[in-house]
Amino acid sequence: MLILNRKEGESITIDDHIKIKILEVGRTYVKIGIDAPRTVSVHREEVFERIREENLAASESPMKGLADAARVLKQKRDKAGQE
Amino acid sequence: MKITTRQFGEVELNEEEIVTFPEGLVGLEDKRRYVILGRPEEEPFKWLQCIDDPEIAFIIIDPMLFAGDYAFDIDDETTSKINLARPEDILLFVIVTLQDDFRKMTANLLGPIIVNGRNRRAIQMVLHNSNYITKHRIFPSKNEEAEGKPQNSKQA
Repeated sequence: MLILNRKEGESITIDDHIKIKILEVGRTYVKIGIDAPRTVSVHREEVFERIREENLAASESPMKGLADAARVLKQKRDKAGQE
Repeated sequence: MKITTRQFGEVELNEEEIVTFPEGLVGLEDKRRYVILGRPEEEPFKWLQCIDDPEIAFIIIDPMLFAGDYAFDIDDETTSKINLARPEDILLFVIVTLQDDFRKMTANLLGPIIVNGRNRRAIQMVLHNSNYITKHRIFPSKNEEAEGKPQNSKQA
């Protein structure tokens, strides 16, 4: 991993077309500005992490009671349809 | 081709039934080929069974069946990854996490699965700028229903 020191207001450029600027440094956070083409996806890591965790939980969850759930869901939908 | 599944034993499969996730699922990037299976008594729930690993299977469902106002934008990057040209080609699913009590089952509205029905390429989209949650109750508890509170407000 490349580690660089940057001060508030300073930037780094990646691959000529992605610019990352340090906008503000707080006591417990940094505010970062990112200029990148639309085709480059920029994400907060924790959203990925939440989905990764949930995929794992889903694949390990007790896969039973589906027929019951299907029946109740249908009843609910039928009821909603009548109202 | 014949595949082994977690819930359905050995299943005979046609090549055209294979759903390909070019990037896998989040956290399962190396597992790319799946098939959607179902049992009539479990409809509208379906199984997303991994072809390359019999132990990996997910329960999926069309979110519109329980969260009718679910909505998000599909960005150009996502459409290009699955060569999606027309909205009518979209098959939308979310992954369900079950509990011992089926009434507590939740759906991951933050990471929906978009299948291009035309070429059967699929992607798990990551909704970065939404308030949807990974554990949206499919059967809201009485309290939540009575308050008429949208579940995603909890996360904000």
